[in-house]
Amino acid sequence: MHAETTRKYDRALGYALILPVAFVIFVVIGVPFVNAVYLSFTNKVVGMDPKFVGLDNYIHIFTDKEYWKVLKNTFIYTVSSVGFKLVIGIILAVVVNEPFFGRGFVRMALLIPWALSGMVVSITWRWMYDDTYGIINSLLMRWNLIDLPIPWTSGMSIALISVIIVNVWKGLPFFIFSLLGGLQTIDQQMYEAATIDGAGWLRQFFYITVPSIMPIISITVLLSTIWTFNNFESIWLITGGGPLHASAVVSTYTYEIAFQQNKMGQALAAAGSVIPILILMIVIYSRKVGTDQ
Amino acid sequence: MKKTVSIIAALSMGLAAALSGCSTANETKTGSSSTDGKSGAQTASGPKEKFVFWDKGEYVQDYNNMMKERVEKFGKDNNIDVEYVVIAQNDLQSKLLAAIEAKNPPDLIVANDPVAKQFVASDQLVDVSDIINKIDFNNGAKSISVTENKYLMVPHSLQLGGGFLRKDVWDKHNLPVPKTWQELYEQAKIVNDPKNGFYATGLPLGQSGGGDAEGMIRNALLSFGASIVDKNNNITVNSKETLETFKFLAKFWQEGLTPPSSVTWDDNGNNNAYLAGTVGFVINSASIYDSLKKDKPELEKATAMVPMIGGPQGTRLIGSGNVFAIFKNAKGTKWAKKFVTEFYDKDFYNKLIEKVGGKYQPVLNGLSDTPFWKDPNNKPAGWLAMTQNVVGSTNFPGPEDDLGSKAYSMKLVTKALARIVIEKMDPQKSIDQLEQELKQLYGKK
Repeated sequence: MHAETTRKYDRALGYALILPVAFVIFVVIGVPFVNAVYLSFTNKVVGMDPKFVGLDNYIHIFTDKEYWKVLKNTFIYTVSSVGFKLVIGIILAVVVNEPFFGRGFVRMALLIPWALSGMVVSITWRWMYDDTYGIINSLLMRWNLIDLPIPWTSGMSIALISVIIVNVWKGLPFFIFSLLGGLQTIDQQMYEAATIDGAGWLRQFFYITVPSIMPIISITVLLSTIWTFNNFESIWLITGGGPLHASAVVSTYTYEIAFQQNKMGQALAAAGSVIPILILMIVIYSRKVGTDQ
Repeated sequence: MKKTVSIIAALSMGLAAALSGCSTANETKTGSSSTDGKSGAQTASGPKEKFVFWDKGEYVQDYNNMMKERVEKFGKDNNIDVEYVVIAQNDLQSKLLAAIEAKNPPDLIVANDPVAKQFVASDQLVDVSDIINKIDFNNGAKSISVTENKYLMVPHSLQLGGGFLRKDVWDKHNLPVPKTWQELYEQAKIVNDPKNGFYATGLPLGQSGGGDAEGMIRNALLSFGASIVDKNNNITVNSKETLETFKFLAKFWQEGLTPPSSVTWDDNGNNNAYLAGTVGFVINSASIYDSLKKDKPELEKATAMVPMIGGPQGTRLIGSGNVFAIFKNAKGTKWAKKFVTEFYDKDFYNKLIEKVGGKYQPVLNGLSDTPFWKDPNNKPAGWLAMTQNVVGSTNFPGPEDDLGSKAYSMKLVTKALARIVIEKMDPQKSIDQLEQELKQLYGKK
């Protein structure tokens, strides 16, 4: 009986302690979120009261072929960026985990893209990509690898690849250092035992290294997927989502509708259309974290 | 020791977090103290009244410096607090939308006229006919400030663009200064040299930021005898003149006479390309001239500033410029009106125009007869005559309303040409699509 009372008391205290935080989260995130969902069913434009229009905005969005184009781009952008960051990240993490002269300097250098402001990175890459004074084309032409400049930011088939490269470059350190942390927790005796049993480095990598850091890989991939899916800054600053939405993603498309066309209701419908995908990812992430704990 | 380090680290992080939340705008808050001990502008409860002014960030830094001084002096003279905020041109619209939605707009803004016109339909702007009637504005200036036969904006400056030409390159090929699009095209084929990193022209076709591309194409359409709408806002874009214009302009990209990257340029694109010496001809306001003088004197010497090129119908310009707009729901509306009314002091205004080095043309009558505009060494002076070619504003020849501004800011015309250039769409098909888009926007069948 006494234990039961204590348990109830502890539970009540727990709820009481998280109540202020829950309230703040509800006010700061919950209310605007619910309001945004409501506005996506209205004809809201800035400066005027919204009128309920039912599913009109969603019908408009889903019947707009540009929407499907940017949604496809968003998936290509996210999957490619995260995929490359993971593969290159694992390779580099393994490399910088090995002892070699100047390892500290290399590790520090690898952190630079992560430390730089997104705006600085985007503007710098835009300059480098330029087809008239950009260093990339200049070097390729100087080395006689190309006759004419490559239209990095303006080619229909290459603009998306160009912004993926920037995202990979900027996001790689997050993968490298997350995975490096995981690599450093692996017991070296496992490798010694595997060596004695005749396992080569490749088998050691796939049977010891990867399974050991799998929880970190999962979390890193999920977090990076959420961030990449919502990325706006670098795409907007490098290509503006152009040419003709060839490199546009849902975030830039939403911005265009909201701030260039002042159709807030429609913009919120476009943004809201990807909420289920993001919620799914967040649920997977939360469960993963819970399971690992 | 560890504890001290932790505290310092925590404080640093806290400070960094606080700073990261700050606006990127360059904000000046001036609490001007009363010089005479009076408190005429103080509210009953004690604190001073406030005047909040958002100005567009100008390429010519002197402009913002002069405006800031002017605002601070205004605050001092009227014993009020002032807040002068400089916002990058590409960010002004989104910041304004956010401020209006938060029911906290600034009292006064300076913006490109199409940006300000978008707030007419939602009834955000104060009627300023009284100021317009008080001050002797020229007709070009009035044409960019009128919407639906009402004055809800006050002209601040005209900003007509002309051509920047690499005279040295043209001279090397013994070519005259181009006066028409056709001449430019013929000459471009001669001077173009992309293998050596030099394109004859730097024509913008970006659809994301600024209005350079939209303005250029619309001017070209008018010069070829085409128009988007008629005077009653009926959509007239689907014409043989539009087809001719689009086919003609597309050749600049199709034949590699302009950099491929120009299809994603924002308004800085042609500035940067010209200043980098990689293009021979651009259409721009005089902002490039200021940068040339400061940073590239050799290139400035090799540059000629030529009037806007024309088409078969001559040169017909859409007037564009900057306007003051006062927001109804702001708290300091009366101060905004007072500031604007006093802004046109001729000495100050002349100095401002001259400081900007010809990037702006004056909106007041009788200000073209000054030593600045008569100076033979003043290259932008040659552009002053262009104010006579202004036929109207954004929606010309239709009525000036928010629909015209919306069509302009949505860059529908730019997108139509981009489809031909980038997607290789049949020009007529692209015009058909443009017509449908315009009909939908203007609510026409």
